[in-house]
Amino acid sequence: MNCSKFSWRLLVTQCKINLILCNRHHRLKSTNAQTNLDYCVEIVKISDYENYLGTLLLPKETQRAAFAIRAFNVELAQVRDTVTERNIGLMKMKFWKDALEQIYQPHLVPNTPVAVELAGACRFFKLSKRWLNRVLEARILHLECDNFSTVKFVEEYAENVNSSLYYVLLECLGLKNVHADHAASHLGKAQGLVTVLRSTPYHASRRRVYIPMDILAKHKVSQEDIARGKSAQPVKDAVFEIASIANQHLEKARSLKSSLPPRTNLVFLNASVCDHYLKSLQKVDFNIFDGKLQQRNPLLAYRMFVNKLKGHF
Amino acid sequence: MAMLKLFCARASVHGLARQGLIPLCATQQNRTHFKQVGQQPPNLEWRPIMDRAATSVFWNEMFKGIGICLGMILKEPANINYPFEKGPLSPRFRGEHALRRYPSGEERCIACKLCEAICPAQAITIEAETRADGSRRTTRYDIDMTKCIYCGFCQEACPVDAIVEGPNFEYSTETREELLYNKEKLLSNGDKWETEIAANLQADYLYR
Amino acid sequence: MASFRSVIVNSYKILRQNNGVIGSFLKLFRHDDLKWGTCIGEDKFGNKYYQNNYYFYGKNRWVSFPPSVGFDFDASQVPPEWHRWLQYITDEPPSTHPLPKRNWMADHTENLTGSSKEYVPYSTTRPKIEAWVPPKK
Repeated sequence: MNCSKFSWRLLVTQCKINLILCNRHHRLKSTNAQTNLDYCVEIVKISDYENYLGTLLLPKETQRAAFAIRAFNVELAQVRDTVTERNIGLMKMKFWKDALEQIYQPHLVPNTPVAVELAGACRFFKLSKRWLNRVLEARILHLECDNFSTVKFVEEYAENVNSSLYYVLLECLGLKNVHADHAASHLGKAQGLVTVLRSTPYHASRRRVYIPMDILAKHKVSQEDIARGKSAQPVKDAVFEIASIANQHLEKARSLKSSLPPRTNLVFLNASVCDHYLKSLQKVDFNIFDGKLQQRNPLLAYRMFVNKLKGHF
Repeated sequence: MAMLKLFCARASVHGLARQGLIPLCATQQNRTHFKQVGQQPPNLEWRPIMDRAATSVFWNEMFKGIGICLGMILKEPANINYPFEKGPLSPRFRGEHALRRYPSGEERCIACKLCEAICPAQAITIEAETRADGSRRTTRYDIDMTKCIYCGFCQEACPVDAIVEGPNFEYSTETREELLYNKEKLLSNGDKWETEIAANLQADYLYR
Repeated sequence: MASFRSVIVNSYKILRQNNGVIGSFLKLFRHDDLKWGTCIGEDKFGNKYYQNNYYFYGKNRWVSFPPSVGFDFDASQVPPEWHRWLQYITDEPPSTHPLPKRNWMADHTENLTGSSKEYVPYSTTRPKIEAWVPPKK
């Protein structure tokens, strides 16, 4: 009884927080800067809902920068799926590369909302260009390849894409700590592996397979089996192996919790997305094509908020 | 004598080849199943003759044909009644072009000219100027819809999702010049169709 | 037997929805088709949208243009939000799931070609070459 009362109160507080956030957005109205921010928030909300929730739970002063960084990631991540020819993708990437160059040259104003917001964030928090550039380079390399040959490649890609974003966010919060970076690296890898698993049905419907080849070969699964959405025992075994690697990374990141400076967990709140996915994958017996895995977790916001209060992730 | 022997040897080798080797190496066809292709001669026994006579006297084929006709009239038609009913369309359908705006009303296009560069039919013409507030915008954005091949590359190449091929395909015109779209026309298309264009572009989470 | 019964029931429903025999005749004359269905909604131009899943996919949603347009009906008179539903892009009609509307969005117009309001192309830039005006003496 007491417990349920407590959780209810939490839920109410969370609603209040959301309301306050929304109001804050609307009060500072219709300046040009505000519309740019609104656009960034909008695309993160539509295309990357989980990180949208995570970003809302960040401290107020860093939220705006975090939304800009997330929106930048959304723009880059969608390139591969919107183009049919590699060259067009490279053209788009070149555009963002030029935009990034522009951001780090003073007195130049970039001309898309995401770039304007990102420029604001980079100039205010003095973010290093290295990490953002690494996200971009990794995405450009990913345009070229149609599969991953080993798990190590997936981890490298995830490290370059997800962990770099965590490093930037840590920079925003002003946290410079070896352990925090270590945790970010592991969490990024876990997230990358989970994304590979979670997007398999989507890619399979387009006849693309991103599950690493060495694992497929080890379990004698052909790419065709994945593309056709088969869920035989060897496929499940392969999925199990990747999921357990992801879980190891997640556990490793969590084991570093005691040595992290306070507030670091705010950046890592969306670890609960990976956690939830891996748990529900176990529940459906490692069948990645189960429809339940594609459903949104209704308690995600609540769990993140509890984690925020507890200093957990 | 030696000559005779040589002839004999040749004959025996030839015989061996004909009987043993050639059938082994070449495909040989033994035709056993024949099918009559032309008109068969009529059966001239009494019963078939009577049957044929009855068929023609009582107009059997005529009534069969009328029966099929009647059946087809009563059947639900397989075609759709166009202006009232319409066929299914993909949300990624590539129809009439439109220039989109940001939710704030600012136009998206920043004159990067990637669409102009990628267009295989060279249907797009862009001219740009820098505005008073320092932002770069197009002054001319023309699409020659008679050249366009609807490949969708412009929409793919656009880094800010400004030019899109909307879901509209009912824009046929009476004159050819009406298909030479300028920037105003494209923007007004965007203003009209934005509700649907925005709704058709949706994704759940990042797949990469 | 069941199919006979459904034919009779359907004809009764069609006659009732189209205001009797004369109404049905006029409807058939204008629409080339007689159907019955539930009215899903109506847009601001007076077009009514019907659905009946008894008819097969592709024929189960249709629009009925208002009497005001007479025989000048055209497929481009369907506004975008209903166009989405009518062309099976979504199953959710805008009457129950309205799409977001912004104040800069323009009203829908039908294809105006052949009328006095048709689009005529013009240049949106300043001319690059200007005619020489001879100096006056």
